[in-house]
Amino acid sequence: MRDHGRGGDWPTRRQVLRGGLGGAALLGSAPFLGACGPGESAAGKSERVTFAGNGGALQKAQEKAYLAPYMREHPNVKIVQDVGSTDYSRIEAMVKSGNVTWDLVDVGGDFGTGEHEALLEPLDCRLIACTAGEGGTPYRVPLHRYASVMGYRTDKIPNPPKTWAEWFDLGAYPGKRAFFRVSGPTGIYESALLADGVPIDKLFPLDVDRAFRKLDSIRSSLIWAPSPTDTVRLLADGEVALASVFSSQAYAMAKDGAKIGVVWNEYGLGSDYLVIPKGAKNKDAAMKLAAYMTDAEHNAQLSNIYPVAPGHPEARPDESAATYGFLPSGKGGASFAYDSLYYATNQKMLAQRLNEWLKK
Amino acid sequence: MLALTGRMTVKRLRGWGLLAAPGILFLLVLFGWPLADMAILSLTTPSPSNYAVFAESPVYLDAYVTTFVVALVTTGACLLLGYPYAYLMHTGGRTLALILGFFVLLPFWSSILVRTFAWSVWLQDTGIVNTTLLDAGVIDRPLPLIRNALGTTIGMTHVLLPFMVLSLYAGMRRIDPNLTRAAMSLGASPLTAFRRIFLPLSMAGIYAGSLIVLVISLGFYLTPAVLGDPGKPLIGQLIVEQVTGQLNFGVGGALGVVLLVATLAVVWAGTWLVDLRSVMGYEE
Repeated sequence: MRDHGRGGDWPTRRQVLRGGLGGAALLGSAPFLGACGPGESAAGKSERVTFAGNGGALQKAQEKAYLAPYMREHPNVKIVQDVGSTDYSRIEAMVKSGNVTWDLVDVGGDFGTGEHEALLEPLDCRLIACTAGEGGTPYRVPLHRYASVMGYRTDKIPNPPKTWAEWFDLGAYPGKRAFFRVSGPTGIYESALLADGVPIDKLFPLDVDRAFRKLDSIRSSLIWAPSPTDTVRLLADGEVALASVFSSQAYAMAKDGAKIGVVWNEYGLGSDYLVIPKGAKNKDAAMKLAAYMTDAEHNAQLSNIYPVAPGHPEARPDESAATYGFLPSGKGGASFAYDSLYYATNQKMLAQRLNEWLKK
Repeated sequence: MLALTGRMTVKRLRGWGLLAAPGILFLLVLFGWPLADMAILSLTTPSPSNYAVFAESPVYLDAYVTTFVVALVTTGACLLLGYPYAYLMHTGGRTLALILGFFVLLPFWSSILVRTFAWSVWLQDTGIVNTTLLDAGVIDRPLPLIRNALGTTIGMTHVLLPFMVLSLYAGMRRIDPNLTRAAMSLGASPLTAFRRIFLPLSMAGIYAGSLIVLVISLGFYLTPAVLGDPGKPLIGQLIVEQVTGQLNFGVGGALGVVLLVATLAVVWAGTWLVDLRSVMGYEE
């Protein structure tokens, strides 16, 4: 915060040096122009932050909820956006090649712990509420929480399943079901284990063998969607009547008129986090933006326009917002949190097991 | 002899040949180096043990087999569809060639992602094809058109057909039309003239098109992910999973290197069948 927001101060030596070249010619007529080059205001030196998100509707909502208001409040800050943050290999490639173009990145719970910390800048936890929310560490701060839930066609299934055991019951609910085909924290193993009678607080570490045995029982009725959006699209198209979906994506389709509902019981909670890649060029500005996006005051701004719950436990979303019914906040029913450390350490095994099981 | 060719090469380079330098540099820096880097990564991150992945799980070797089978089938399908199309472009006159050529190039104007998802709308159980057939009473349960090898082949053939058609057409244009005319004037039926004269002369185009389609097929991952059998991934899908899903550049690199070697082996085996120079359009 040193040279930021101190309107009355004289420009620092560095600002004069930076702005000096372009302004030298004008020095005689307007002494201050030299200090304030293009894009710089007297309020502070101009800053630039590159924010990388998942793209799509979520990132558009983040722009509206956080980035645009932040730039209005801080006219000297310019936020540039990029997409593709779920591709963690890009972070690794940037850090290892020493050419880090992202300053602040929205990542999932399967990134940012354990050995990934070597790829990240430690956060300034005096500024940022690093550990206030679920899964937060000095390297990643919780941004928002999403839920994987049972999704169903409201027109085809008048009495939706209330538990995963019912969801797995082909007698009660004939027809196909969709999962997102990925070995990460999206609920494949957890739902199978819950359906098989594992208590909801005893899911981790996952009994993978048991989960696959349960999945065997409905193998021929499963459709493996290539992306999470496709699980919802398969529901909307009528290709399946039941699916394991992210509530936020179900909301997006339901809002457009698709006959899709979600069941708030035995749902999985995952979090997205903000991280700063090691060697980020605008580290300090990124810290400040991260603090704004994740504090109790501003964090819920996203939940009011996009159905994810705040990452900060004290941030309160607006209960009258249209999104409220689809966001995992203040809902009854049992829930579990994805154990991100478990997923980070067992990724390889899980991916291999899933591929082998699918191959049979 | 060697000295003579050497001097001729230098002579060529001194002239217009130098114009190729940016292209060569471009390929070396942006293609050669990343490939070498991938090979190095596969041996050093963390060690050559990356290659042990083949012993760990049968998934990977199976994926190579699936990949080559799918690539061969796709190449065959492209050839079957593309040859008559290119032949019509070649023989149908200027206007028809322009119109047909336009339709070949049309797919390049939309993204592969859009085209692949459009196919899923057509092929799925509640898709356009199955709903129409069900409504017409032709079938009483949806045909399995998607999430299997058929879906992958349809999607990939759609993407790769233009490469085949353009290669075939380029090859056919090099055939002297007088040769088939001469054959017919000597009493050959049109069919015989085609079979004995035109078809053999168009082989260069067939080989060129097949090689291009086969090699591009080997790297597909999006189309099989959307339209294919989730239990039989192509090697491209597994490489993506290793690199983007698990940050495992080493194993991803190893899978890539093996794919590269296998591809080169296929191309090399191809040279036993075909003279590569004829594929490149070299005329002796």
